[in-house]
Amino acid sequence: MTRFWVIFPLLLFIAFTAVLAARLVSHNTGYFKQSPLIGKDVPSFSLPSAIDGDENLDNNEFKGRFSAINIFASWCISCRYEHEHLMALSKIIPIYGIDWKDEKEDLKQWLDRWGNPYKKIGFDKNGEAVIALGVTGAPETFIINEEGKIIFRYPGPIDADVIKNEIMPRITTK
Amino acid sequence: MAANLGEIVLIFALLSSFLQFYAPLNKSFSGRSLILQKFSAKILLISLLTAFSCLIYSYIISDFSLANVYRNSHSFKPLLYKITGSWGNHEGSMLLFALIICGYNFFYSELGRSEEKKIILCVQGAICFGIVSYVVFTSNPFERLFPVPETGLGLNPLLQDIGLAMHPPMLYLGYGGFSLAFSFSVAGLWVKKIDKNWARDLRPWVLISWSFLTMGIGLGSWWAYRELGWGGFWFWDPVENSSLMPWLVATSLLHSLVVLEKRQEFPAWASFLAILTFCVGLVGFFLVRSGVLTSVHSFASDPYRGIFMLILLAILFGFALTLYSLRASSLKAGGNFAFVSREGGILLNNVLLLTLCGTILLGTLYPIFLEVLVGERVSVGKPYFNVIFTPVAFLLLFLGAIGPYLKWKKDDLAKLSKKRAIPLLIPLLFFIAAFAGIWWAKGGFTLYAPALGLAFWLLTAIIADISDRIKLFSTSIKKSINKLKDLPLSYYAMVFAHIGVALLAISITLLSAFEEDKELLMKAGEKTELAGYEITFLESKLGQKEDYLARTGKFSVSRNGKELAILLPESRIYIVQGSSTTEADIYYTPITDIYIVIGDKAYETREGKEGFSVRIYVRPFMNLVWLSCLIIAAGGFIALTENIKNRGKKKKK
Repeated sequence: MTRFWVIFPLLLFIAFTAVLAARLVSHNTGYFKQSPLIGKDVPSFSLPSAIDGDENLDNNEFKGRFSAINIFASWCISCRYEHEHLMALSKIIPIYGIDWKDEKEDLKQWLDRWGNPYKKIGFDKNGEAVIALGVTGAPETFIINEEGKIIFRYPGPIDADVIKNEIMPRITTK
Repeated sequence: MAANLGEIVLIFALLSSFLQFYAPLNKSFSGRSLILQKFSAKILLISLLTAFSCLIYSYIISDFSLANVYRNSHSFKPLLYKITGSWGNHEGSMLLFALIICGYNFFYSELGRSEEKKIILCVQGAICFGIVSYVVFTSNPFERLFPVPETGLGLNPLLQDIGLAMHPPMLYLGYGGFSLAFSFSVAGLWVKKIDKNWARDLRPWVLISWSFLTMGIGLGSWWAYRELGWGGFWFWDPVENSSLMPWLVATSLLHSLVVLEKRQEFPAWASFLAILTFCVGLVGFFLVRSGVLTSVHSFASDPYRGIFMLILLAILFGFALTLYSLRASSLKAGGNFAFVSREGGILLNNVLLLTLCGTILLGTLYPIFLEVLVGERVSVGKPYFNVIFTPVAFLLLFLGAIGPYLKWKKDDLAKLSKKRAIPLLIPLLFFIAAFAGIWWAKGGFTLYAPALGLAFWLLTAIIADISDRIKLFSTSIKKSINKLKDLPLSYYAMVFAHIGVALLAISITLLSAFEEDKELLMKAGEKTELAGYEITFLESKLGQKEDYLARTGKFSVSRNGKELAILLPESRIYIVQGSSTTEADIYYTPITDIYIVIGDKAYETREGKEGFSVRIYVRPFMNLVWLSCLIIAAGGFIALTENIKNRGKKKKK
């Protein structure tokens, strides 16, 4: 057996591990939080309110202060998981909810039971805003700066760590 | 309470696995280190058994103060699924995996033989330590929740199935045992002694793991077939691939161990395969659990788990492969052999199996590599795998009919074909008949024709060899039967495994050639026809069962005006989880399955029609697929029996 073929598996394994490590690290440093929308204005959408009698929600809301958009639904289990953290975040910045493919009755029960962290809730039965925002699944959260530009996207349920390490540094003025 | 106990014993497990690793390294233990190692292995197994029982107990009493129970269980869940739910999630299944590895470790420490037992147990200790730390530090099933929730989120409804309950334990019984192949290899390379005895001592452990893995893969695809409602049994999903890859490598390891035991040939190659088998299994685990790949099997993925696992992989296999690269050339190989010989045949078999494994790995990882290197996103699916897999599988089928009947060291193909002129003629005739038959049935040339022909070629070659060995027709029937009884068990093992492979190829070919699908909107009272079966949608009902709401469709299946069965497929909504599943109902006949899935009510369609979306699949020869998996696994168990029997004989002497 030549020397090369004996070492070959080891070399292959090193290369293999390196690629996987690269992938894992890029995953960790926010690979999956990227979005082509970052740095851009909130895309235009207009949704009726999910609570009868409230105002509509459209993309002109998000100017003049930091705010958050949270895509959620009463059928979404992980949304229940992040709910308490949204309640906390709502004390810092206004959160606008986009209620995705939901029933108004179910939503009302959900809010009555767990509390309402949202300033306004848009009712997105057909996924109009959800598609415009390029959402991959509920829950998903966007942070918008004072100029109305999207500065951060977080797919999946947020928790205290995300608020502390990702959101807070971005919304405190430098 | 149980949870506290569970956490404490996990720490015991960590300590004892470390002791098992450390004992032979410390000189002051010398002389007693094997006793110490055996003791550690015992404590390790007891600790993990206790931890696992604690987890199951927490599930039974629905202790929602555990995050794991909260996320995956619910008080309304049937008791059976409460229990099986304990390993239907990431943390629980990792604990089960650790338990099984430590189980193998214990049984090896008690029953196993080897001149290098101390080193093997030392490496095993390191593996157990790694896996148990993975459980404790990144996937602790006993993590607490505060405040304690009143109720749980429920088990993913797809997983509430008996197939799933059995599938992971089987698979892990496979992967887990391969850890011993790894340890044997490291120990053998360390002392530069990989020989006949090494192969003899390792073989039973690989056999048992391989047989379990075969059954595990079969069970997994059986579950997918019944539960996912796609009417298929193999989807080339990354998770499935990661169970098939170690199977392919282990299969070639089994073959090369035979050569090493009988002929002292390929020591370096066998040690490499032994490392690779466990490596591929753990890499599969890593790919699935780290979130590097996306798959239909959703496991909670957490990047820290990925990093931990990758470091563990790098240490174990980095060490083993470095050792391999240093020692491989100094291993002594046996005599020479000609290309046309049993050794040559097995080498070719190994190369082909590894090629299959490599192409699957490439197909599974290609999207990742492309993304890391170029930043592009693609997905590799069924077309790739079918195109790559088919020609290699054809070659395997073709050569499988020749290789096992070659003599060791050197053989002559011309001689073999002369000696076997008649037995070779039979497979050839079958090949041509099968080829022609399916050509005619499909009305033209398709790949099904050569596939069926080759599968029959393999099958009849086996039968021809048996009849040759027992001198069927050239002596009296009675003598032939006696000869049949006298054939060694190892021969039977080979025959079973190879017949299983041939049957699997036949059933998959026939299935792909003759399956039929139909998807349509149906209203109650409507009829449709597929593959000669008449299917009538009788009515649909809404009802509530244990923990879900179900819309049940009632269908009658009839043929030539005679009613064969009533099928009740369901579309379920699980109240707690808020998710929905479709529950197919299947009419099983010995040959054909009729498989109906009912979906949601659809009001608007292009034709302006309303009704339920109904999918009907006719799947011929499905049972043969499951049966062939069992036959292949049976081959492994038969070989194991022989191994144990021989061992008993030697002891008596």
